[in-house]
Amino acid sequence: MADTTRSDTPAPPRAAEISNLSFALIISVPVLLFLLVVVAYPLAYAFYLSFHEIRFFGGYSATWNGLANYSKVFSDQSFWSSLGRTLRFTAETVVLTLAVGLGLALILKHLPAKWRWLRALIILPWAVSPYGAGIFFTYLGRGQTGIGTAVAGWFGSDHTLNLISARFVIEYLAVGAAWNMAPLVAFFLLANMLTTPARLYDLAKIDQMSRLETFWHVTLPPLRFTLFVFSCITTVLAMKTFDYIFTATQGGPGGASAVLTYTLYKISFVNLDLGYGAAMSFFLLAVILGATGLLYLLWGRKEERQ
Amino acid sequence: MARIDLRNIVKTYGSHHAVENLDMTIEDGELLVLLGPSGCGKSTTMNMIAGLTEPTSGQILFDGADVTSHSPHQRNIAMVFQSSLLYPHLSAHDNIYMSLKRSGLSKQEIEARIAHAAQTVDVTRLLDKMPSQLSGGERQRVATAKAIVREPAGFLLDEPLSALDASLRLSLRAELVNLQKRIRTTMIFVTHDQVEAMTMGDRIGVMRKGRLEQIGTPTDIYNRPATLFVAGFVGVPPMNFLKGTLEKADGRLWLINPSLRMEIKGEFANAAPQKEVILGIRPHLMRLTEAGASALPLTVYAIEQLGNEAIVICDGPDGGKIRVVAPAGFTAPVGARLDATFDSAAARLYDPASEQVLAVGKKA
Repeated sequence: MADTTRSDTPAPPRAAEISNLSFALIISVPVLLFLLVVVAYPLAYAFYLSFHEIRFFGGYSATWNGLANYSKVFSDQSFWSSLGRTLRFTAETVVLTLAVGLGLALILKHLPAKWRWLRALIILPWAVSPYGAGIFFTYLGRGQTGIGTAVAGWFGSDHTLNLISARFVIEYLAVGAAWNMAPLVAFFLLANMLTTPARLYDLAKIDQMSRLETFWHVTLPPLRFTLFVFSCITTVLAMKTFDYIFTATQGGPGGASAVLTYTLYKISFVNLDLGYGAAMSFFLLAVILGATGLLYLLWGRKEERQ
Repeated sequence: MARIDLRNIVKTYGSHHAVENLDMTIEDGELLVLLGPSGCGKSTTMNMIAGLTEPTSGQILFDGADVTSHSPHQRNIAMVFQSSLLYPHLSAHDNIYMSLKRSGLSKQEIEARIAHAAQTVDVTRLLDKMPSQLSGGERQRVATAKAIVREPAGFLLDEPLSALDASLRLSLRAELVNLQKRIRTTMIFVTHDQVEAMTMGDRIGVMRKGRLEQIGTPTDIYNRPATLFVAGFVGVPPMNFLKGTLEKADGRLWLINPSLRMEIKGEFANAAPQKEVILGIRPHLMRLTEAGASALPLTVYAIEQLGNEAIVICDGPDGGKIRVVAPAGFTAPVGARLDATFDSAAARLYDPASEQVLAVGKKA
């Protein structure tokens, strides 16, 4: 074949093609530069701050104090209790988000034809900003205006039922966070579910699988990777949640929902102890990296191999 | 192994009749092929035999026992689906194992049966592999092992070869027939491919629009198609059709149309004079000749050389295409005039209204 295409006249010069790498660089260099400015610079500056004591009284001053900020974090009771709240909020949010997302996806999949439009509508809660969700869940949970009192009223009680109590405020906030995020999870899981051939369910019937076995062997396998990805995403989002909790409870009642991000906010921007706040924020970063790394080691690697 | 009877089966979805009044018997140990275009009700019929779909009315009997309301497992059937469906996250071994998980057999016996089934279809060395690591043909064999390991009363295959390439289909076709004869299981094979049906089936049931058009051996179906649809659907190249009117003259029966006047030698009941009919004749039974009185005038449209013979595709006198089998190497320019003759005793006459063959019998 090669011979037949050869001819005496020289072939016209081909337009130079750029390699995949150069193309990737051309389109990503502006973004990388932008990221450098908006992420790397503040990160480096925070790193610088964390080794200094910053004062605003009598003019701005930054005094080098070595690892003092970092060692202070370890002995700070409010750090440990905030970290505990963050972990509790994160674990609950992740489990709730995935469970509700999976439940929603299963419901959406089995909707009769004339109700399928609900599949599009279900994404709406995700469109609510965390700020808005915070305000929404304050009013929904408060004794005077909340759903708790309303439900109690249906049963003939005239007590007010406050859902934002010191004991369960973290759980209440986790429900709100899951409400915000679960629709997106459901959307992706539904897309996965629709790729499973319907005949596989017939095969399960012929093999006399129970409903649980059918779920385990037919429904779940194509979803597992998506579930892993969203457990990572939700973990990161829950650990760095600030605006939602700020508008919902301001860390209250009485500091019961002061998660690490909220405590950081108080230290850095209310008490203006920027050096100490910067040092503590690196602990949050370490916790986020550690948690997602652990998820990958325990779960993600297994899904990857398939 | 079982004899399967379908009695007056009806399946409707709303106002749509998927299967209408189906009566059929599949003998013990027989390989029956259900053949038809998509949407003809063949897969629905198979699902009802499997117990995946319940008929709207009618009875399904396995060895004389009514199983109409039994689940697939109670019927002890096995099924191979289109594109050889397997659980994607389980190894070949575990896929086969799933067929026996609920069988109540001992672990030892299950393993022995898996080993035997794997050996039967030659997949022993593939047992540890995941479905995604198997080729189409290997997946097909594993799916077959998964089916036969149950030692089923009925073995149902729903277009299992349709996703494979042509040469693989050819070898797996023979493999499946060979397997069915060795294990002597009642097998029902659904396909829309008439070549597959002709080559595999002990008998073929041709379906269209939810009805069974004809059931019989491949030779029967080919030589004596009962309806116009069967005549046109089965056979390569397809049967030729000529429209015309029957006329009686000189005590003989003639087929008349504007370009033809031909004596009909067969004996046909219902063949009243002045009756509109459609004559069907296989391309192999036609010969190209010099122009003659009772010959069919044709115009060459295209010629397909098959090596052992040539198929001459022509524009017929009434607008339809007429195919004639000619000796290998036959050539003629496109647009050339040709004539063809055939022995009218080998032709079949169909009623255009009912689409049924005019029964062969006493002269009308």
